[in-house]
Amino acid sequence: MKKLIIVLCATVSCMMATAQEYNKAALVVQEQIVAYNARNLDAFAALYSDDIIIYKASGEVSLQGKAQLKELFGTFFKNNPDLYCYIEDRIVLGDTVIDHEKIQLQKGRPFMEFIAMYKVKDGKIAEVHFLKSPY
Amino acid sequence: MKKLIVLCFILGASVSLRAQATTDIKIIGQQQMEAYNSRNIEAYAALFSDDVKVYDFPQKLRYEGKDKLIARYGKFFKDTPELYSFIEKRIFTDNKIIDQEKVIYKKGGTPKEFVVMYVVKNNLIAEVYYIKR
Repeated sequence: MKKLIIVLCATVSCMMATAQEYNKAALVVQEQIVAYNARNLDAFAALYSDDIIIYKASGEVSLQGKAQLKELFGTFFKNNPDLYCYIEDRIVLGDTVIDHEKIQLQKGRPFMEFIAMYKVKDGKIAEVHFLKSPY
Repeated sequence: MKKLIVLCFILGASVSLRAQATTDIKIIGQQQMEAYNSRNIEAYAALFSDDVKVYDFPQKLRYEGKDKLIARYGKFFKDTPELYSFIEKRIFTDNKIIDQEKVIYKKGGTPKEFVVMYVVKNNLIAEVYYIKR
């Protein structure tokens, strides 16, 4: 019985350690890419805060608010059924995630290069700054 | 046929140009790190354009001009002889370097973490953005 308790304690503390090893911001951003690739608008939008702001590389606001995000990405996902994004490289620092992303709109087309910086607040993506985009 | 050859040539040249740009920027990144860690102000300053602009991301200008950069880093390098920057991670594009750096000011000191973006124009660093400092 004692042994079992020790094993249980060890297992639980091991699980806690594993959970702490994940950066929460990186986890949210990763889920966001999965939803993006599945073109699952509900899952995608659920990872963004209601007052999400996305900035272009020029610094201009690209979109603001979850309603606008849903509208724009809804159309984008519908029009690009082959859409695919993979992470080339990633920097994680606290609540900030910088992704070097390669995105393909259609099979066989060249991958476009993006760098996006995500700021996560309260478990949701609150700001996205594109540092590099092809347009 | 001639047209095809010309097209192939142009395509090949543009691909190799792009590859060259990526190589160049990786060399600039390497030189920047080496000059910083050897605290060589001349070698360091030579990598920046005369009108370099240094910002807190996204748009808060901290200072402008190579002379100001030399004044700041010259003093910083002199005052901090044990300075060392470790590149934790580096992202390259054709004209940008994004670094995750851990900087130690004194041997055995706690590293300070930075995320910095360098924008390269004409083979010189023209803009610096402190994303985290």
